[in-house]
Amino acid sequence: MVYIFGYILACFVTVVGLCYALASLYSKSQLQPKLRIKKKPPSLSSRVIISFSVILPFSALSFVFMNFTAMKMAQSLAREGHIEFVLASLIIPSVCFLLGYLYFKRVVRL
Amino acid sequence: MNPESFVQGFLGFFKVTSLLLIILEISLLIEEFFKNRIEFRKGFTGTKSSIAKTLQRHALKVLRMEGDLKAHFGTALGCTFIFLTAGLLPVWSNEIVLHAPHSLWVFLGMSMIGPTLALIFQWTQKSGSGWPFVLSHAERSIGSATVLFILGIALVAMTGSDSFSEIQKSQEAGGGLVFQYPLSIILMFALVVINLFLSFQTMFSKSDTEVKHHGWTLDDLIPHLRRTIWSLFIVDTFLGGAHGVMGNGLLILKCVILNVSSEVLSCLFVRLREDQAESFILWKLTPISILILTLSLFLPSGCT
Repeated sequence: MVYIFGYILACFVTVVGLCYALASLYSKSQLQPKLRIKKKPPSLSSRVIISFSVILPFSALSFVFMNFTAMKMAQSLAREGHIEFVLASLIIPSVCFLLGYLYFKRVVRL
Repeated sequence: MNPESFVQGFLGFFKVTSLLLIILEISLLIEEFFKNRIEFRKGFTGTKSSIAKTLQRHALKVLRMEGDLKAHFGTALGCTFIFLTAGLLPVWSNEIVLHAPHSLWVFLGMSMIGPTLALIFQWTQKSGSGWPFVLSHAERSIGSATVLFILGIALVAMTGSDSFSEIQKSQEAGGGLVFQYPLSIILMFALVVINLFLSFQTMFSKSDTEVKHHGWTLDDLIPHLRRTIWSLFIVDTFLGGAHGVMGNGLLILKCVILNVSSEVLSCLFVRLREDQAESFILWKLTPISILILTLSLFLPSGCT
C-alpha cells in the first residue's frame, strides 16, 4: 500500500510540478501572445451526457466484474477443456454490454 | 509506514515514465520523418524536415505549455490513472513495478474505465460543459470494450494465464508468444487496430480542430502516451518483452517498430468518419475476434 502511495505521489508531484513550472515560464516569456481570447468548453448535450455517464459506465462495470469473476475460474477451466464455460463467460457479459451500448446509440440519435 | 517501500514506489514511477517517454519520442520523430516523406511524394510543397529539426520543434512545443494550476491538477489525476495502468506491464529488464493478481484483466479494465472517469470528472468540474475530445475518448473506450474483452479471453484461452508475470515466464521458457502460438499474430494485429482506434491515429483520427481547448497542454500528449502503453503491452505479451541479450534496447526497438509501422502503414488507408470507425470496430472486428477465440480454443496450438 505504501509502495503504491509512493508511486501515485511521484506521478502527481512530477506532473503538477513540471506543468506548473513550464506554464509559468511560458506565461512570463515574450513568446506568449499579448492577447489571447480564452475559449470556454462547450456545453455538451445533457441527454447524451446523462445516458453516457449513467448507463454506459454501469453496463461497462457489470461487464468488467462479470469477466473478473468468470476469469478467476476460466483460467484453469480453459486448460481442462471446459469450452462451454469459456463461451458462456464470453456471451453473457457481451450481450449485457451490447444492450447498454445499443440503448445509448438509440438515445443519441433521437 | 515503511519508508523503504515508499521510496521504491517513488522510484518505480520514474522507471516506467523514462521507458515510456523514450519510446514515445523516438516513435514520434521517426513517424513525422516518414509522414513528411509521404506528403512530399503526394506533391506537397513544404520545407524538407529532418529528425534534428523535429526534435527541436518538439522541445519548443513543450516550452509553450499553457494552463492554470487547477487544469494541471486535473491533468495530473488523469496521468496518475494512465501511469498506474502502465505500471502493471513489464518494463526495464522485464521488471514489473506494480504487481497485481489477474493483471491482464486489471490492465484492460483500467484502459477502458480511465477515459470514462475523465469524462465524469470534467463533467462535474465544469458543471455540464466539457471538451468534446474527452467525450470521444470515453465513447471509443466503451465502444471497443466488447472486442477488447473477447480478445482478452482469446489470449487467456491461448496462454492459460491472465497475469503478465506468468505470460512473461512462459515467454522466457519458450520464446515470444507469436512463435509459440502462430495464431496469436492475428490477435496481435487486432490489438494494434484497437490501439489506433483508441488513440485517434491515422484512419481513425478526427479532423475537427474545435474539439479541444486552445493552446498546448499535457492533455495533448495523452493519446500518444496511451498508444505507447498499448505498444508496450503488445510487445510484452506477444514479442517477448525485454528478454535476452540487449533486452532493454530490443524492447525499445520492438515498441518503436510496432508504433511506427502501424502508424505509417495505416496512413495508406483513407480516413474513416466517426460512425464508420465505430461500426468497423463493433461489427467487423467483433466477429473476427470471436473467430480468433474459437480458433484458439479448437486448434491444437491452443491450450485446450
